[in-house]
Amino acid sequence: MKLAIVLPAYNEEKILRSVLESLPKKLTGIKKIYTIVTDDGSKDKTYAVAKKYATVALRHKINLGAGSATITGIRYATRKLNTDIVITMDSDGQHDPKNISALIKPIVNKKYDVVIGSRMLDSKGMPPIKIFTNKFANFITFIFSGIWASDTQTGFRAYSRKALRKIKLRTTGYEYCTEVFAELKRNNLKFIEVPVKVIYSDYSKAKGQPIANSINVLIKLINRNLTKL
Amino acid sequence: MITFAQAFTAFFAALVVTKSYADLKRGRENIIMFLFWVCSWAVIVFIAMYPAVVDLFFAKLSGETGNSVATALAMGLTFVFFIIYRLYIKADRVEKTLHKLVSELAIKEREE
Repeated sequence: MKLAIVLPAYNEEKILRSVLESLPKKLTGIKKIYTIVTDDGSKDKTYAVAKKYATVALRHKINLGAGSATITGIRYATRKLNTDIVITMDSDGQHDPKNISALIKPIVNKKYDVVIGSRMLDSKGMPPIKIFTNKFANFITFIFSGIWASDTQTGFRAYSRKALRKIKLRTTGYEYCTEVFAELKRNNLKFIEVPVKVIYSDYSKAKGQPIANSINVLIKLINRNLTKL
Repeated sequence: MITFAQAFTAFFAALVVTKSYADLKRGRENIIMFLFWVCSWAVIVFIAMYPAVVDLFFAKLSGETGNSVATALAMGLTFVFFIIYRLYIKADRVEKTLHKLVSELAIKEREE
């Protein structure tokens, strides 16, 4: 099987190299691993670092958001590399690469289509405000998708080729995290959550979705559902 | 005697129509849009100049309740919300198209 690890990146020149170098070079059941970094219109040397240390470096001419950057990376993986599994993860060092094997195992064993790396199954060390906003986001996701999951906002996920063929995303910002669940329900895709460790540093805590953006996300999700009618 | 509010409305209407005409001449706006703005602002100026006629109109619309001001405000607000929604949808479509273009360009450049 071929695996692509997609990392959307915005102004991550300081940490991107160490993140890419920490990714596994070999995994059980995987013949070839690609790393795809989408530079989302960074103002620093993120793209130069990506070109040097990633298998594939893509570049957005303007900043569009994590959702768009992720989708660009996934598009490349499915269209040009024809990978069997795609993992998405953050490029700010928040996600532990050691969890990648647990993420892909249910797909390699052909038991599930999508695996969600849940930070909430073991939320030790997570700031209380993040726990609260994640739970609120889970509730909103339940309203829009009918699926209850412990961590609907994590970017650490694995998708099978079948899932990527069926999932059609219409949102482009952070709201894509929620939209994926609506697509899982619509396409009857099987998913499972596995616990993942989060590395909270001052650097990674400063990144991530600002709480004030949640109103914007909610409006876009409402719009998505209204224009679907 | 013309009030300050009426003069202000007429001045603002003249400004908008002049700008719209200049855009029409430069090819930035089509004749339909120009006529739309002319008619819209003509209505607004008429309302400003003859408020009594408008009062009568909304009094008839509000029927037995006789609350013509509330009716006028409610209708105005409804229209404004409609315009906001239409603008939001258009902006959203433009944003989606932009996202698609930038994404496809990123992939194309990688392949070159």
